[in-house]
Amino acid sequence: MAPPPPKAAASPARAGSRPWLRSERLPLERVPALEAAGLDAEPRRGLLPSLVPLEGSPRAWGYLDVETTGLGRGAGTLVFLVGLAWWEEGELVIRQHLLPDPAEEAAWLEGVAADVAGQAWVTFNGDRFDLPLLAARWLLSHGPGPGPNPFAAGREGPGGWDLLPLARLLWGRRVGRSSLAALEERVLGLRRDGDLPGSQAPARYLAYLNGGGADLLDDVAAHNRADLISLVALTSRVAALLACAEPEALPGWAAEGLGRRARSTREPAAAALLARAFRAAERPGERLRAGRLLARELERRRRWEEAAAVWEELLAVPALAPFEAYVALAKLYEHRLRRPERALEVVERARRVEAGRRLPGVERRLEELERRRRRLERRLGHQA
Amino acid sequence: MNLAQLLEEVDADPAIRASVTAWVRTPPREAEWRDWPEESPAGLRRALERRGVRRLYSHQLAAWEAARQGRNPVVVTPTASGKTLCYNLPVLERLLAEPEARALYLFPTKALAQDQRAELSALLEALGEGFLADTYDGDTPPERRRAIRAAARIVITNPDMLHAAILPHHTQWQKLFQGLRFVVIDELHQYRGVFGSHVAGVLRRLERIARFYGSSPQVIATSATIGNPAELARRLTGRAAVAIRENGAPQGEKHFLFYNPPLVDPSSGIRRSSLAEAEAWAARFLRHAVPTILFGRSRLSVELMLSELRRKLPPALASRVEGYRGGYLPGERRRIERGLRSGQILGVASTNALELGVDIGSLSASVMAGYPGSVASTWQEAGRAGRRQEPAVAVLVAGGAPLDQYVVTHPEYFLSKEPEEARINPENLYILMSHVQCAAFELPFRDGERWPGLEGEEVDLEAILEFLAQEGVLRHTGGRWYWNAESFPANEISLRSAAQENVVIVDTSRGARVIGEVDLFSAPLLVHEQAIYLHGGRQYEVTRLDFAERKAYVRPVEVDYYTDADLAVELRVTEVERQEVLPGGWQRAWGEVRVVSRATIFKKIRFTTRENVGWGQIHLPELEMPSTAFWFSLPPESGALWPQAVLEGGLLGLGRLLAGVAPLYLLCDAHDLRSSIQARSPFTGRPTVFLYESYPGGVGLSEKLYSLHRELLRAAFELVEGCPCANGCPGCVGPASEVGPRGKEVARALLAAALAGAGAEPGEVRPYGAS
Repeated sequence: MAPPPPKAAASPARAGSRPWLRSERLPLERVPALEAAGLDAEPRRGLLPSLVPLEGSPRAWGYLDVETTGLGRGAGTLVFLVGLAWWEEGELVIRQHLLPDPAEEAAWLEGVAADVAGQAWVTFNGDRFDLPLLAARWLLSHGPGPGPNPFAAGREGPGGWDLLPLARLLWGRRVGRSSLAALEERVLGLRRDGDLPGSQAPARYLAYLNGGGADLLDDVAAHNRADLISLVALTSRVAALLACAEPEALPGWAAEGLGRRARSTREPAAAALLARAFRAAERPGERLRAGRLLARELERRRRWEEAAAVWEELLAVPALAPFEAYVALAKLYEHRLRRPERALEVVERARRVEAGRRLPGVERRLEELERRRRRLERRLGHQA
Repeated sequence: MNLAQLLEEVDADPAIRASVTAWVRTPPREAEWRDWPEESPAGLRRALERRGVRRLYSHQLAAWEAARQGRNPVVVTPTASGKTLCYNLPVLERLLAEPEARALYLFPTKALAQDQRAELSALLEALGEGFLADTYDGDTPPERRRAIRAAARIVITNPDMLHAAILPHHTQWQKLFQGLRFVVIDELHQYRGVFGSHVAGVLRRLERIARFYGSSPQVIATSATIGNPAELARRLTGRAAVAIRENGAPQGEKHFLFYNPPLVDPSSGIRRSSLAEAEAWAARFLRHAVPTILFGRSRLSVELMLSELRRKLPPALASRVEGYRGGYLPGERRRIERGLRSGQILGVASTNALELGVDIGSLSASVMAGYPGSVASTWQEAGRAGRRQEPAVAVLVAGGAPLDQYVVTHPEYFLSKEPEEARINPENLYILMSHVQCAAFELPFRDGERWPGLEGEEVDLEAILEFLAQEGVLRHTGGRWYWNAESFPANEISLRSAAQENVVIVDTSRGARVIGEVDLFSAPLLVHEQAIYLHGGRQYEVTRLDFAERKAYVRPVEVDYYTDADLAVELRVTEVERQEVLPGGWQRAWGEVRVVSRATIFKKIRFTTRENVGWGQIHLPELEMPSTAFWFSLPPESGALWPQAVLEGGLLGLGRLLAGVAPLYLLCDAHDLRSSIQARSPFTGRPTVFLYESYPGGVGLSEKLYSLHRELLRAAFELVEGCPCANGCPGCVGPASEVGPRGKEVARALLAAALAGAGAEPGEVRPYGAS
């Protein structure tokens, strides 16, 4: 629905074309970096349903991204472009609402709300930025009356899934930054040519308002369109990963991120995910990290034997084994598995390794091991 | 020996009595009790009874009733009179009655807000309703911020936070603004001058946002004693206010002594050091275990008196005396406040930091080293000594400055005088423009929207909006004015400092740390190279001023002098607001001026004696500033009475005297007003003395001076007449080396003639001592 043409002729930009509502249908094969298998994957049926707020598959969801006149969330920051995308009969529909003039904001937002209603929306940082800003704009233009705010968070507003936290979990370590642009380049392997940096969008819109001509907004719309397409592609990847019912099918890095999260929320799948991460780790650092988490998770689940086995594996190359692993293993043998002689043996190994590699803090570590050794020897002596 | 016996001993000592210019006794007073109102909430009453409050003082009930009637009370009472109940009672009553009701408490500083939170929490705990009341300031962690936004029934904050964090993000504070029933403004008197004018802008924005959410909060304010509490509240908030002045709290007998240190050299007007004399008074009280506060005017004077005091007192007493000032860490301050309340600490030497409403309980003696600068501050510092049952004493030890000498030699004047009026000027275009921008960011202006002015009349908002639209800052479309920039206007505007463009002060002693800023127009005077800059009670020396980059580099120092720069000023009148020809051909006027100034030289002046101990040149470019001024012109023929140089010396002296006594009438700092003279003014065609405001655009002082010109002239005359110096000293017209050998004589003659011309009866003009 296009907003009605403005009554006052205050802005020269209105003289030309009026591309205030831009629509486009993009065939599936022309959406770059899409993981086709992910489109119909249902992540709520995967290993970690609690991570996924939306039922169904990416094909059923909408995608939302806004452009604003500033990065702050202050009341003077306008939303001037709402980009929406959704799947319809194998094509990606892209619909961009542009605000021709702040004076028309109230009616314009109603048009946006009509498009947004009844749909679940995937965003990137939308929980903290796009949706609260839209809700604030609605409040400002419609007043604090009793009617529902179509953009408010919670039950009355649209269902939504902000991908940012999950993207950080999955790729944060590998990509370094979790901005959409960084993920687009490093995860999706996309490059944008001649893209207007998002930080310049506010200046473009203000220049347009001040009489600069509507074509100034073309670059902003193109940028927003590219963001939407990346979001769609990223969602297909995330859905494919999360819909996996078998940890063994996941790449190691994804299993680690998900396992870490599952562990922090105490989900039963944590051990299997971390085990997968441990087995599939490509680099020693990853293996060590996943192994520690896995062993701790197994201990939490009172799977003592398995935990001990993981710690033992981490000690395979003694000189590169973490001190933590020696101590944890010694404690397991002593207190849980009731095998003090094995505990003593682990302590002896640790003492040799620590004395050999002499890292900073070695004195303190050796003292700790010595105390443990004496206690174990006393205990063995008593038994004997 | 108790305090009463000690005072008898002092009274009998002729050496001391000779320097006491007045000794005022105020008899003790009983409490004015009121019964708890019958229709009040029982839970609230029980909570207060649990905290030991069984009856109310008369002013507490009066404030409560005014608030219940929908009015906006301003409670004017001294410290330790139970003022917080004056607002907590009506607020809590409303919160109990209306589940969605909210209140906003404003305190001028974070520390005062923290004090209040602690007190309020105890009361809320006794009430047991689970109301959330919390401070929202720069130190509040993010997760608590969310909880406060969502659920706090009372939000405790400061004007800066309201300005930069709450109002611009009001959509996140919907519950607060929709439910806002009360705005509490504590320490109202702090909101004066530039700061007050800014806060007036913030409060108009608050009102505007509240209206958007459909609420219209009442205001309850508390203030120390000032001349115009209700007027100040009305000017700040744009709402009619009712002052509640009676104090129902009981009070013991009070003594107020005015003490002028004896002259060392009568002809030059040099007296014994006010610091040494004040410290001797404090020692006299402390030796007899009388709890004492000693006020100094600067950090240095406080430290000097403190170390001397500790040296003189026996060790057991010396260890119970502490210092207190801006530079101390919060934890240290809290410890000292607690110690004073419990009596563990017997004496404290402090800057005016303890003039604020910080809770230190009540002491028995207050000694002021130097006149605190205003009647209002003097009563506040004196009021730190005052108990409900026992006697208390305040001693004002005068320093060498004109104002000090005027007050100590005219105690009857001081005592009869109402405390100064706090002036603000929210219509200062620069300040107004700042807040119109912030307001437009917060909510677009509608065509025809109003911005309340000072006296109920409207500010010409449209002219400002048009201008901002011309500049591209706002955009006018569809009957509204929209913010039209990427920036966040509140970030650019500081409530506490002056012009938009500031010079940043960088302490280079530990890396490069910004410690403060001064406005551009004051920079040549305050932060020229070698200037001693006082900040947070500390002294810094300016090592380099990079004027182009707007940066002054400083390092901490400890010296016994301050610096005072001379300004060559050219002043041009651009618009006359009001003028009047007086009998005898004298003229007074006020209006808009442009001030072109160039700093020329600076002098180093010793704190204690005000002697000149060195000087240097300043090389800085000229600055032009729009401001407002009050001016006073001589009859045209007076130019012929003296040789030009002699007349100029006299005018210079007259300007000093007028600027020196002006703070008697206005709550302003000495450097808020400057004088400039023109032996033959191009504008008036006559010898003219200008007093202009040093803040761009002015904050309303000039208009007030215009209406006060007779009082000003009389006070200046009495000061110069009563000064024992031969021909000028720092205590009156300035030393003869600056005003010439006949400066004092000519200034005196001009004042006498002006007073006669201004219509004073001859008998009204009396030299001090002849009465």
